[in-house]
Order: sequence, then structure tokens, then C-alpha cells
Amino acid sequence: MKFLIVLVLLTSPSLWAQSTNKNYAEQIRFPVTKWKLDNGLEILVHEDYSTPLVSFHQWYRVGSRNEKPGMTGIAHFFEHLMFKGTQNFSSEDFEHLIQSNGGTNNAFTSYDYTGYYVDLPASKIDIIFQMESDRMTNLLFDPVSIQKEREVVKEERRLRFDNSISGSMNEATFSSVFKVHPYKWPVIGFMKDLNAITLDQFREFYRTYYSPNNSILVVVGAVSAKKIKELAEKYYAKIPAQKIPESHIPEEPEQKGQRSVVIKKDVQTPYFTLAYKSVKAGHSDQYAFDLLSNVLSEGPSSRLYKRLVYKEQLVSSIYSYAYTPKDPGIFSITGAMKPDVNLQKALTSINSEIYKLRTEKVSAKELIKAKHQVVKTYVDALKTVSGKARAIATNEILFGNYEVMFEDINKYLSVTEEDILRVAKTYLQPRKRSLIRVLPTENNKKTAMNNN
Amino acid sequence: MKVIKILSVTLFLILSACSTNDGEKYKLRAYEELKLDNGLQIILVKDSSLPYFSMQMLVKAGAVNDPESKTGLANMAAKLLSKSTQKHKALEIADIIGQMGADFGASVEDDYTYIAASSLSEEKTKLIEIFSEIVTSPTFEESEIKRMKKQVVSGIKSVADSPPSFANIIYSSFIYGPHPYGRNQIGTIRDVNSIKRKDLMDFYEKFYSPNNSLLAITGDFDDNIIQDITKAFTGWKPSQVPQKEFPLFPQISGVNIKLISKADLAQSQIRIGHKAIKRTNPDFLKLRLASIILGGGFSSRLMARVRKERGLTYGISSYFGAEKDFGAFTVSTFTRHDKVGETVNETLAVLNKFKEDGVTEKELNSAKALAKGTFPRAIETAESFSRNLLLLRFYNINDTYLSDYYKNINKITLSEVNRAIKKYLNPSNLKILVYAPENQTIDQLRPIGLLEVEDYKRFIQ
Repeated sequence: MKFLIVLVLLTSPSLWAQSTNKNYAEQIRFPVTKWKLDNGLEILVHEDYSTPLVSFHQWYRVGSRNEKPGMTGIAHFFEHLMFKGTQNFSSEDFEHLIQSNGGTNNAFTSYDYTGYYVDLPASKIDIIFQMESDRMTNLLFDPVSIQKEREVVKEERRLRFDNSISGSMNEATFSSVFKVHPYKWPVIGFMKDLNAITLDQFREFYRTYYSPNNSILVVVGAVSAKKIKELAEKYYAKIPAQKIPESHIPEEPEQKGQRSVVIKKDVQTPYFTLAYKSVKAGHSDQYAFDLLSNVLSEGPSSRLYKRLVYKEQLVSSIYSYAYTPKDPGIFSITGAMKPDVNLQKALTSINSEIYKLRTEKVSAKELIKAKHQVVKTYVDALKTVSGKARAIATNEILFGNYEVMFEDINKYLSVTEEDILRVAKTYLQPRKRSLIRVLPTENNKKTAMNNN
Repeated sequence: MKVIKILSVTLFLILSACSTNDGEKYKLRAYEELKLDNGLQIILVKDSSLPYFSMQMLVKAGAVNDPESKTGLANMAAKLLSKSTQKHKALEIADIIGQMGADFGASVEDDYTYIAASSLSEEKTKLIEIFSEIVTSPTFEESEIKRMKKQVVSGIKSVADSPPSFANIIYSSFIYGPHPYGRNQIGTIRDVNSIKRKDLMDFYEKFYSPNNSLLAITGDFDDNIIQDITKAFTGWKPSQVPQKEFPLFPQISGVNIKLISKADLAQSQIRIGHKAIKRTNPDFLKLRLASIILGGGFSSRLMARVRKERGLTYGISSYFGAEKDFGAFTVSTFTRHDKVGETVNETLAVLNKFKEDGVTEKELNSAKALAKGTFPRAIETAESFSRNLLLLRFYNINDTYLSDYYKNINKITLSEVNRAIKKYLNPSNLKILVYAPENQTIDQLRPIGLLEVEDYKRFIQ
């Protein structure tokens, strides 16, 4: 009963951090079988018979990072085309076979990778191996359906960005923090590029990046690794590997002065994001960065919530996030003002909280709290078979080593107050900051004042 | 304190006669059920697979229980629970919960209030203590009420900055009219500002009582848990709970369109609907299957026509809402401004054909497979399973809904589904809400039905 010891040691913060590390890491650990086919496809399986389901994930090491200016959005647009049918399964067949076998499927594209996934009854696993391996090589490119899909993708862009405050701010944030690196454009791409991408460019993109050696396959659920081995041999082994071009991605130069973006919209209240460059996934400062973010804004006991939402009543919501993708990402603080409050007041309070982080160590109690929160987030993410599959896939595709997810918990638990102070000093410098504001158009500002 | 043990069961879901594959074998989690003598009903679901502990409470009162002209009262009460108790002030409560790495939330639906908290299992004693304190002894301090009003008013205003959510709120008020389901659950600015401490105390005393609440406990715990829970809730006094009477669902005749105008929108939001059913309606599962075929998922009729064939939208979905009283049948989608008329017409054409021709055997089999295939996921975690048990008790539906789910789905016939569609789908009498710039869309909408136009600002007062 190692776990009971934790309770006793809670009153002694410094001991807590050291002596409980092993317990949590072991409590969340689960076995994964991993191997590689001759063609380079990596396969990872975790057997979990708690529910009669499997979660099947095929992820590719390609994202908007691999795009070129003028073709932004091609990685995501192409993801849509993967549902448009092959020589063997029409688009309708594909969807019908998934549904009539009780499955649900979807896909996503990020800066660094693209994932396709299906959750379905474990007994129906064969069909998805057949269809997923098929669309790795046999995709059809039909000009008519691509033209229609172009409009669909543009609607998606309008929904998530052009007609969304948070989307607009997000796009502006990345384009302000990054001037050189491909993270500067949104994964969805620019509207003019979505209109311009050609059929040949799609074919080239498919040929270049969709191959077994550029992909991982993760299966979690009520199925044996032995069965997955048989299926993988049967459906994937014959697909040849191909040479993946080396990507030459420019490094983002150091930012020398504060940047500022103002977006005018017919909004009821101002919104803002403060952003800094963060670190890349797996960087030794990532752990302190995440804990720092929790101290600042996780829940009503956090520093920014207590001060800006509760005591000073300046904002209606505020949260921060350390986004750490494959290359250095961003650390951002985003908030919505309470109506009729001056935005500058909120910025002043945030600045003073950041100054405090850069000059004083967080308390031992706050650090323990942040660690508790991180462990809880880990536990919550692993309650479902699809959650486990996502965790394995994310760590494997970023680090080539799923074990990182179990090792990370100890890295979080060994972060010290000094680490957080150092991270705040290094990364949260005023001259390395971007300020993005969404402000009401003049017209609306007047009406808003008259109404109050 | 005497504890009545209601039942302790392990339900097994058995293969139905016509199905032969392993995917249909399913075992529900074991659970125990108790009742304290103050009336609090408790469900226990043990799950030692991960070191967590969670509490979920359903209080049988929601936005529908707000008095006229005090909309938002149930929401204010729920949000203020954790802001002052007999023992602690707001920030002290926040610190207690935060320090455990736990989370706590209370949210209001039309019919009920849902309060949930979870922590690592080592903190369970402390979590029970603070959770019961919050639920059984809130004090609704004046200073906290004032603060919360500002917070809620911010929320009412800023939801107008999120077009999909704002469209949902206006659609509800359009479709339900004066029926309480039409209210914005967080209230209007005028009503919220008029709420007094006495209103909150009255609401709390009337509705927050053990005999009007259900509690589910899940996670890694041992037998001592019953004693801990009993001790924590034993002092909670039962109350006389007034019964809610619902007004009639407003009649709809013909196609009624409301265009809510906002000039700077970059995309038009569309909602189409009419009256649906109560949750206890025996046709519930038939309509669920119909809804999968019509607008649930990638291969639905609406997705095939409006997204794939026409490229008009990124997403379109439909469902038959079912609540304590009548829910609404709703289609939700969005498109570019110059395609609003076409999108509405295409959608109506799909609805008309759906009602006329019904569904095919192939479509029905596929929908059944999807309903069954996704069922284990809906109750995959101990928490989602117990949340389902809470809701079934709230709606007075037997747990056989879960244990016989596959059997009940399997036995639904094609003619039953098509009869249900004919009975409950009514494309000639419905309401259409469009949230878009007036000058770019009004001419497209005029030919479709009776049209009224309003400025969006009317909905943020």
C-alpha cells in the first residue's frame, strides 16, 4: 500500500515531491507491445478488455509544418480528401462500412502531424485494417468531388476562424509570435490558398508523405497483440516504404521587441491574448512551464483568477496555456473583459503577476497544488480506450517513444520552485511578448455605452 | 442514521437471439444503491483501475423552476454554492479544492442542476467533506451575489460574440415561445440584476434538499465509504418540493422564419425545428434510430445532400430532443451568406423526402449497428455510467434501458421507425432561425416562408 504513505507526507512538501514520484508513474503505467514492419510502419498495441471496443489510430508525420507559402492548408485539405474514396471503396462504401459495423471515425490535422481514427466494436477490427491500409496507397482524385470539398473546407475556415473571436485571436497570435517558422500560418490555411491548391499538388503531397515509414498505427482495446500482428502482416506488409524528403524548417529568430495586433470587430466586450515563445515538446523546461501555467490560471484558486476575475472583477474569464509542439511553441494568456472595464487595467494586473513570477519563487504549497493538478489531468486522460490510444500516439509520434508519457510524470514531480522562477525569467520577458487585442468597432462601443 | 440498502446488482447484458457476434456481448458495471432516511438516494460504482474519486449530484430543479421575471435564478444559486458556506469564504473554498488538485463545477440545465467534483483517490475524505459542505450549507453572502451578478451579466453579453451559441439561445426562445424551455438558462440582464438574496434562499430551501437530489459516488474506495457519505449528508433536512406544471408547447402552423441580423458576421447560422417528444415516450429509441439516418454522423442523409453533394456546409446534424416535457426536433447547420436560401431549401427537401418515403432496411440496419456500437462508449467510464443512472432515475426510466439496450434496438422494425417518422416529423409546420446579416440574406428567405426580422441586440438586454 505505497499509496497511503502519500497522505501522511502531504504536510511535508519537500519530502512529498521526492517520495511519491514512483507511485503515480506506476499507478498509471500500462503495458504496450511495439514493433516495426519491414516497410517501417510502427505498430503499438495495448490490450484492454474493460470494454468490448477498440480505438484504432493511424497517424502520419506530416502537418502544416511541411507546407510552403502559397499552399497553406494543403495538409488539412488533403485530410478531407482521404475520405473521398479509393479504387476499392467509394466514399459512400467507406462511411457505410464504418457505420454498419458500429464504428465512428474522424481525423484531425495539426502543425506537426495528421491523425485518422476509428472507435468500433473489437470484433469488427478486420474491416478497418482493410480500409485504412487501402487508402494509404489507392486514393482516388476526382476533380468534381475535390471542388465540392474545397467549399466545405472554406466553410470550416469561416466557422473556426473568420466567424470566431477565439479563432481570429489564435490566428493573429501565431502570426505575431512566428515570423519565419511555418507555425506562422494557421493549419486550416489562408482562404486564397484554399482557392488555389491544385489537383497535382494534392497528388504530389500524397505521394510524398503518405507511406508506411512515415506513419504509426496504435490499437487499444479488447483485441490481442497477436491478432493485430496477423492483420498488420496481411494488410500493411505489402505496402512499400518510400523516401521521405528531409524537411528544412527555418528556426525562428529571437524576438527583439514587443509586437502588437489590433482586430476590430462588432463585439460586446474586448478580448486579449498575451503570448510568448515557449519551448518544444520534451524540452527540460516544458515541465516547469506547464506547472507555471497551472499556478497562474488553473481553476478558481489560481493567481490570475483570484486577482482578475474575483478580487478586481476586470475579466469574466482568463486562462493560460503552454503549447509545446515539435518545435518551440507559445505560452499564452487569454482573457475576456467584463463589459465596460478598461482593458489596460487588466493588462497592468497581469503584468504585475508576471513580474512576481519572474522575481519571486512560487510557494511550496502552490507548487504541490500544481503537481496534484497535473497528475489528476493524467489520470483523467487515461479513463477511456480512445484516451489511452491518443496518449500513446502523441508521445510516439513526437518522441518516437511512447514511454515518455510514463516518465513525464516523474519529471513534473521533480520540478522545483527555482525551476519555475528560472523559466519565468527566461521566457516571459516583456520584449519577447505579443499583445493581440480584439476591440469593439466605434459604432458598437457607442451603443454599448448608451445601453448601460 | 439508518441506511436502507435498495439493491446491489450486477447486470449482465445477454446476447439477443438474432445476433451472433462478440461485439454484442456486454457486461454492465456492478453498482450499489442506498437511501438515507432523509431521502437522499445514493449510487455507488467502484472502479479501482485508476487512483481517482468522483462525486456527481443531480438536484431535480433547473431553469424551468425560475419564477417569471426571475430568469437565471437557478443558475445564480448553482454558481453561488461554492462562494460562501457556513464554514468558509469563496477563496478558502477555492484553495481547499485547488490544493487537492480537484475540480468542482455546478451547472444548470432546463430540468435539473448537475453538480460534480473529482479528485485523486487519496483525497476522497476531504472531497466528501467540502462537497457536502458546499451543497448543504451555502450562505449566499450579499457581496458574493453582487459579484456573481456582474459575472453572469458578462456571460449573457459575451455569448453574443459566439455565433453558434448565440443562435442556439435565440432558436430556443423562438421555438418554445413562453414555455420555460425557451428561456436563456443564465437569464436576462434585467432579471438577473433584480435577483435578491431572499430569492436565492427561497429557491435553495425549496429545491436543494436530500429528497429532491440524487448522488453518485465513483472511483477507488472501500466499504468505509458508506459511513463517510452518511455522516456527511445526515444533517441535510428534507423539504416539501412543489411540483412543476408545464404550459403547452406553442402551436406552429406553416413555415415561420426569424432572421436575426448582425452586420459583421462572416457566416450564417441556421436552425430548423418543431416540437418533438418527452423522454418517457416509448418511441424514443425509434426516433433515435431515425435521427441517426437523417442527421447523425458522416453518412446521414443531410450530410450526404447538403455537405457532400452540394458543398454548402462543413456540418449539418439533426436530433429529436427529449426532456422532462416535450423537447424540440432540431436541424443545425451554417453556410456562407449567399447560400442561405439554397441550404434551407435543400434541408427542407431532405426532410420532406424523409417523411414521405421513410428509411430503408439497409439504412435501419446500419443505424442499429451504430447505436449499439457507440453504446459501450456512452457508459465506458464509471462516471459516465453513473451519470446515466442518475438521469434514468430523474426521468423515471427503468435501468433495463441500459441492460436491455441491444435487445430493444434489435427488435425495432422498419415499419415502426417509418410510422414514428410520419408521426413526429412535420416539415410543413416548422420554425427557421437564421442568424446572419439582413441585407445579404433577406431576399433569399422571403420566398421560403413567413418572415420576421430583428436586430441581435434585442437578445442581450
